[in-house]
Amino acid sequence: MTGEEFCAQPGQEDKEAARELAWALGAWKASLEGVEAPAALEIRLRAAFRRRRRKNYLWAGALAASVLLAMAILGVPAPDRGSPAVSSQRPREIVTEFIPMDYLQRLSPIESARLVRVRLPRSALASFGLPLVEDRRAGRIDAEVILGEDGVARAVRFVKIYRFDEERKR
Amino acid sequence: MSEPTTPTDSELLQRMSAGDEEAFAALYRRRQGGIYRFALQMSGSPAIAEEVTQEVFVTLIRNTRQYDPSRGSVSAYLYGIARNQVLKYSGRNGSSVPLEDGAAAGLASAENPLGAMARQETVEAVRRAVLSLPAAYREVVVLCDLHEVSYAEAAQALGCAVGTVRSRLHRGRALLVEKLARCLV
Repeated sequence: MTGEEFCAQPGQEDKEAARELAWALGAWKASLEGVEAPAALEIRLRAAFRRRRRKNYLWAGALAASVLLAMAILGVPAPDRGSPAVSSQRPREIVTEFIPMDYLQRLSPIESARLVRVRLPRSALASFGLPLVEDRRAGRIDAEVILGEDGVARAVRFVKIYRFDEERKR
Repeated sequence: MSEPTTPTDSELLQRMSAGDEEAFAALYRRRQGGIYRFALQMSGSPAIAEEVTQEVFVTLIRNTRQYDPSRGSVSAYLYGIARNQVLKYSGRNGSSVPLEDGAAAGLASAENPLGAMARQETVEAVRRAVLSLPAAYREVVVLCDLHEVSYAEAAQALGCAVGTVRSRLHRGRALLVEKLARCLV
């Protein structure tokens, strides 16, 4: 059977063409083996990374100052660090640190704020980088949001409520 | 004593978002070659490939938290950014096929000059053929046939269904066979 007779068979030409294409693409791929971006690009990008990191530190500092100011304005007490329950009958609350919103850097500093208690879906914990137990993904969780005078949220903290009874203290 | 494990892309990204420059450098060194070659194969221009690679990693630096691991791998995420950047540059510069990408010239071999020339011609022919494909077919051919990205990862990078990747790849390959048949007679 000649090459032409072979290629004339149904499907053979397609297979042969596919093989040739694969070979050609492989040859092109091999010709670019080891080809990389210029070394100077890494230097520029590292510099960009450091600039971004400095900016984030400055905003974190400004945010911390804004949050402290808001807490002072609102008269918000310090987060509970696990001090003993004052009354075994009253619920005890544990709170996280305030977590700033991602868009905070684009907002103006605030002069006044209010603290609002809300109920959020438990899945919101993951959005703020907090661990979420899979089998407790459903349901809602208490949170406190700092709202600026413009009504835009600046930061959020999550609240866990514990209840003690008299027996646990004995 | 346990051997040190190589951090995954996701672990490097997490450390990066916490301000670890060396984690960024490690991730960049691991992924820049693939991104650069993808952009080069899509655009045919080393200058555009460098711009695209830079934009991909600047985007990553600015928006580290935008990566969602539930939607796919870091690699697919980076290819997706690169693909969008290439389309932006292609729109700006028109759809002409650049003369050369600078790599095929290195194929000459003193041991088998005729074979090397034939190979060089084939590489140049397939390069032109791929660059002349419509973008929708070109990107799946480059990702799947040149970068060996799986259909699922290609679908994530391109924001389409796996079935769409398969059908575009099939059509893209058919177009390439036609073009090469005309060039390499």
